[in-house]
Amino acid sequence: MTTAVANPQDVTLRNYLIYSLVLHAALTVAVFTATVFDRRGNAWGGVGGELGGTKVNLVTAAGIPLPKEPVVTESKAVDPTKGLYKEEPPKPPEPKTDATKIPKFEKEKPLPPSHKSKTFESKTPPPDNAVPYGKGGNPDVPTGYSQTPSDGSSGVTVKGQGGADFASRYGWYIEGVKNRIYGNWQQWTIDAAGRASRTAHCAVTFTINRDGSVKDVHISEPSGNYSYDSAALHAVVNTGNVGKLPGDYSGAYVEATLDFNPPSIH
Amino acid sequence: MLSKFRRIGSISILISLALFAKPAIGQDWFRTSIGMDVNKPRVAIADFAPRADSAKSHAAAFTQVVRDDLQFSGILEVPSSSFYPPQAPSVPAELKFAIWTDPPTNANFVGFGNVSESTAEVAIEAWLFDVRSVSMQPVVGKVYRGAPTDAEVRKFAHQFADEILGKLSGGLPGVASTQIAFVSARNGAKEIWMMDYDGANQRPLTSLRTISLTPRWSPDASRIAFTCFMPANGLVSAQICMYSLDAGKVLSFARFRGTNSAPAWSPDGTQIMFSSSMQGNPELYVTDSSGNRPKRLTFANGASTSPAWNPKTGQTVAFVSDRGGIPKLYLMNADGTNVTELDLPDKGYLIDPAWSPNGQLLAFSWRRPDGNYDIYVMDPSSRRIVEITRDAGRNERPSWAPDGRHIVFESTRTGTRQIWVMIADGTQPRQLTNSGNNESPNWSPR
Repeated sequence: MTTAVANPQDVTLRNYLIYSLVLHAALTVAVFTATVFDRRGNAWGGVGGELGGTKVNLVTAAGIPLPKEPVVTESKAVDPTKGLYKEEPPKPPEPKTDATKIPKFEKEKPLPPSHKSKTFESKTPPPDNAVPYGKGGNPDVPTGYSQTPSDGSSGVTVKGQGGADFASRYGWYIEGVKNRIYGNWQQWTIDAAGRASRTAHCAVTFTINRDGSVKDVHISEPSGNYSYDSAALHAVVNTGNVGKLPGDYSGAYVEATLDFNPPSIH
Repeated sequence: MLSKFRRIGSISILISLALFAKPAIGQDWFRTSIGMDVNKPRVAIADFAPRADSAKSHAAAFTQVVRDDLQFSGILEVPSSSFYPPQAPSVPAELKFAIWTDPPTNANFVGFGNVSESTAEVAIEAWLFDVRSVSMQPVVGKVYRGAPTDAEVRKFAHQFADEILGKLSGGLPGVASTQIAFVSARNGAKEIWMMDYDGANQRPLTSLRTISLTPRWSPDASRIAFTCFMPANGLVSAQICMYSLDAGKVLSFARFRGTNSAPAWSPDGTQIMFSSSMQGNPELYVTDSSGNRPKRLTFANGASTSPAWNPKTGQTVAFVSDRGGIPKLYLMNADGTNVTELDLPDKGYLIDPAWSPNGQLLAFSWRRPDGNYDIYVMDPSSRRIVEITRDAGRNERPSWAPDGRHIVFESTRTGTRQIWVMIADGTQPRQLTNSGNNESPNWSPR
């Protein structure tokens, strides 16, 4: 026998709804509070926002702890900043040759010579955020990442908001990527026509994850010679890992394009 | 009522997710290039400044060892010190970027530092800066402290060079701190010896006063397996011996009937493969790292020897067999199945296979019908071959450095059998040993 009564589920749901609204209101307040604190805490890195680039306040090396190296007990290798700045105080007593140099460095610190490049000012109109590499402009050494030809076929092209200065800050990392991949570039697998060509060129684009692993490897600019493209593609794929991204780099990954050129072109 | 509740709940979740989600951070990208010809960054190593007269010799030694290590890395160019600016920085505050990037130095990176020394300790501060970067941070910065001995200073120099190489080679570790095991008869009997990768610090490990051959490092570099002729019960036969670098002595390893030789480690260090005639014909067997539970892998009419376990995959083994009449290279699975011959275009003897650390290339010695033994490197997948020694005596027994960029081998090019090392493309050959006859080198894996 059944009896008609008020649906007990309705009563239960109403109570839950009230509880839910109260909880969500509290949650929303907590989220807003956390967001405010989160933004305030991100003062020295991250997205710059309005300007479309990452705002990075450069500080002296003393303020940035270097990545801790594994301490080898035999060698007693220690963190360089500790060693360096503990040793600094006793140095002032050396008046011999450093007396004039130390003040000079203090003045130069905010403006490293690399920023003062006249060559750069006059030489490169196109890249608005081009890297003032070294003295700026094109160094006369064959490190491709520092060169900025505007045709986009080689050299650095940097953009984006994750700092937009990866090439200028981490030239050593890019050098490592090149070295690692070059070691796996089996040029002998290129057919005679590809090796003899002085104009063959292809570009491989890929993504470097924080742990240095590469993904999304593909030929972005084919050469027209299958064996040439295949050797370039395999060089990146077989490398697999190009080394962890720099510890103080804030982005989650970096996209890279590597041009594979014949002997005479860099 | 239920649907209303669900709708409100869904909206709440969406709002929460939206609030919690971090703003998407745009990513950097860079474009760079490499060319077929060599394209090396220039790393200048300034003279390390001695803090006192007592530190002069060690400062000079440190500087020179670092320069040599970097020059021999094959991936960097170290400009001549005669091109350097007259004033060498001893601390970062003294480094003027521009004078190093200008000609004639044209440096991309500058290494420098200082050396302090007392009777009890030497302390070396060492830095590497990217002088073409806007960043004022050092790429490398280290302080080394230890006993004020030549050996310790050399060790620190190797460590600093490896730090630099690690940074500038995409995370691939440098080999300046690695060791090479080899066989030397300079004191009479053939014993197992060891030396630094640059030939310094040569010292004997064994003193068995019999014959020791074919040393092979374990993957963790704690042990060396080798062929020995240890007598037992009045019987002398070739057996597998095991030397522990931790214990500093030969450990026990199972003995087998017949001739046992040419050990090879599995990549995980748990198994050893070797050639044995315990059942008559020389075949390949695998045991655990103590020699227990032997299992036969090959079954052929000819002899099988010189196994080399692919260090990357652990699934493929290259070995030598004369089952076809003359010694040739074969590949098989690590369980002995799927044996295939690496057929080469020319005839001749093929011996001493050695896998590159990435498991993609195979170095070996090949005596072609009209020539001497020379070192070749092959890509087994495409069968393409490159000859990397030529017209320089007899060159055999290649072994790869863990960076995959160097090969150590034995050569008779000077008249006696000696250990040599070269870049894996055959350039920059360097003689490491001079005294007596030395052979069968094997590069430590770390």
